[in-house]
Amino acid sequence: MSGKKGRKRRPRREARPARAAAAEPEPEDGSAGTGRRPGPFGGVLFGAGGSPLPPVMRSLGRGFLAVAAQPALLAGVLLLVLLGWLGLLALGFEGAPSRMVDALAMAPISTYFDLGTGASLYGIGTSFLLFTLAALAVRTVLYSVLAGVIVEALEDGRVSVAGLLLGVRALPTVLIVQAFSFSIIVFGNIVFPALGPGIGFLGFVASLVAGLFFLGFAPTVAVREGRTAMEAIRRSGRAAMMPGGRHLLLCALYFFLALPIVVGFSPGGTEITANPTLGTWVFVFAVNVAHVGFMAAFAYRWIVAEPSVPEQPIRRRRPAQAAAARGQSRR
Amino acid sequence: MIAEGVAIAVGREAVYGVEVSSGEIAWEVARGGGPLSVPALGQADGERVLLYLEGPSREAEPSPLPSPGPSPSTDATEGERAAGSDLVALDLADRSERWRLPLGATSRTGVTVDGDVAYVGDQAGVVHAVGIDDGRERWTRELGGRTDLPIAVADGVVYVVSRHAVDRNVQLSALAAGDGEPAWRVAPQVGSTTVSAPAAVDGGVVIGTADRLVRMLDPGDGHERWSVLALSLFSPVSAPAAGGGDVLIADLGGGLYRLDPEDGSRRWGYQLNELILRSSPVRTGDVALVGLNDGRLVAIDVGTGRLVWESGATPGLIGTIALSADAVVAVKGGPEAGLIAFEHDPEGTLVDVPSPTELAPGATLARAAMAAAAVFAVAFVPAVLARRRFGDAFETEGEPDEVEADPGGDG
Repeated sequence: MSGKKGRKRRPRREARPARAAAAEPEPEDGSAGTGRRPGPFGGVLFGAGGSPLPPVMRSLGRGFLAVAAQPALLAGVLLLVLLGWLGLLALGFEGAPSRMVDALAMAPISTYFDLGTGASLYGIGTSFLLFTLAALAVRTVLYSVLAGVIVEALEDGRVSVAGLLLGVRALPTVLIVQAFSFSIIVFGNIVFPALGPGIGFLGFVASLVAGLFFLGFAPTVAVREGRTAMEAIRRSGRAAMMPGGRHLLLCALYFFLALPIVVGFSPGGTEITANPTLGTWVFVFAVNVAHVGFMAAFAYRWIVAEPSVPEQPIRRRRPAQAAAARGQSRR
Repeated sequence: MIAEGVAIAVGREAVYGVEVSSGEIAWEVARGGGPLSVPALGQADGERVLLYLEGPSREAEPSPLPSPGPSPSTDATEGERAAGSDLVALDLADRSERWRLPLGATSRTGVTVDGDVAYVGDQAGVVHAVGIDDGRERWTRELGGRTDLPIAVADGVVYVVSRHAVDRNVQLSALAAGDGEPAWRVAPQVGSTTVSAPAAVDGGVVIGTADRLVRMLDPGDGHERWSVLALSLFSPVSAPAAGGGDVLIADLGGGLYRLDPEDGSRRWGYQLNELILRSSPVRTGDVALVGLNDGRLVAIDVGTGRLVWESGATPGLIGTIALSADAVVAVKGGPEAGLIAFEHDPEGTLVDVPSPTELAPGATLARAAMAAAAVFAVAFVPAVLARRRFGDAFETEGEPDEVEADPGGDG
């Protein structure tokens, strides 16, 4: 992105100087050199301060601002939702319009939406598989373009054809992310029921959150760095695992907002109609804008943390080695 | 069920005959408890015979044994009655008990009559074919699982659903009406025992299964002739209705469908958005009637698939529907459970309401446009102001930081 205009963009307010992870070894306790102890889950849930990832609320604020301040992007999101509904009706869909609240959700929630819609339309069979493949293809193109446009909106404060074309770089990555999401849900539906209704359900939810956790940055990585799909996904996972960023908290928050809360509070509920009420439309549009806002929040986090994301997996030392290293450093 | 202007219904403690014209109880016969089910009328010795299920007086474990031989009993012991249901036959004229047959297990199927034979199933998975004239069992057939859905009979074939809760498996069996010999058995692999009651139609038997498919099976060998998808599951106490070259079926979620029995193509579907739990669609003239869980009785024009009239919603569902010459009588649930009759309202006017699943492009697009404008304005205007306040997310290197850029407020 930055190469497009020959100038570098940096966060308006950096949390700290960017670190070259390869040159500067990670501290053994994983606290990213802050001297503070990591919180539970290595800081990915509650944070431990001093993370390369920006705070959750700032990320969300920047993400929503990037989307809402761009009239083309905002109008595009609204139009996509309307076209999506009309397209489903054209395919013969009969269902509750409230389902559309997750039309532009991030994967794997969007995959969940596609599978549910396909099953509602065609039952389980060949037509369902064809629909799922078609949805995967459409969503890949759509989310790649969105990734490009969002990065442009964040970096340049505008949306143009250039951002749209930049999104093409993310096509393979987004395709694999979508395929991963599909696999997570299929696998979860096969394996987790065997664990019983309680643990099985929790396991399924955890697998969805994990999918978002590890894959959430991948489209932005692909747009920004133009790397191969697998490398983009690896870097996405490494960024997610960086301590102190409350990334798991953000993912869990998104998941619970996008599924139980949003779906539960949707006006119209489960009423089946082709003609949503004004209230349903307002809710559906607003929630889908929020979904894209979350995408932008993830993109913002990546852009801020990008210089700190290590090129190679961090090799964690054993406790004894770590203690020895600490002793050496004291001497 | 209506006979000679009297609606007959099975209550927990009695069988009631209710005058359709006035709603007065014309007669009642004491009944010894047991699950409520649909009675039937048959003919024996030129007399009309009322057949219904009675007992057990208290719920007992279903007996694993089939019914006790072909000897009808009119004096079953208390123990036998407690163990299972009885099939009871009354002469309709004077309500005198003609015979009583202990089945050996609780029965919930209701009674199906074809010619001079009554068919019932029980919770032990046994189907009983009983002569209406003498109450003797012509044959019994053990199918396993539970046979607790109404039985369908047509063209010398008895169609019985048996449900196996442990295996979560459903089987539809076709038995020869003459001797109960199995002709074929089909077990759709749907992983659930939720299934509609079967209905015999011209050229086959129709059933709704837990994969939301309405299936038409060939009466000869049980192969699937067609299947078509509905929007939700089917209630086990709701059956498809056939006749007039149509199949009508209601799903649990409130969808009523008119299907072509030749190929299953949907002629129309009407989404009522209310549960249909205990009512089967009934066709009368040009309309299809169905009862809803919110107490409404609705009529859909068979030709157009549009709603033409409906009663008001009242507490308690509308269940089984029966037709007389000048009234529609239905079972009514809720706090004032009983029978409810609907008659023609000379001052009423018919409506013409399309299914909500029919797109109204003008209204829908207008609402979408208004909603989009509202969301756009609410999102865009504050965002522009916030952007002025906080600036862009990233700045070109060399530009000074003008303000603290923290729209989230926690940085």
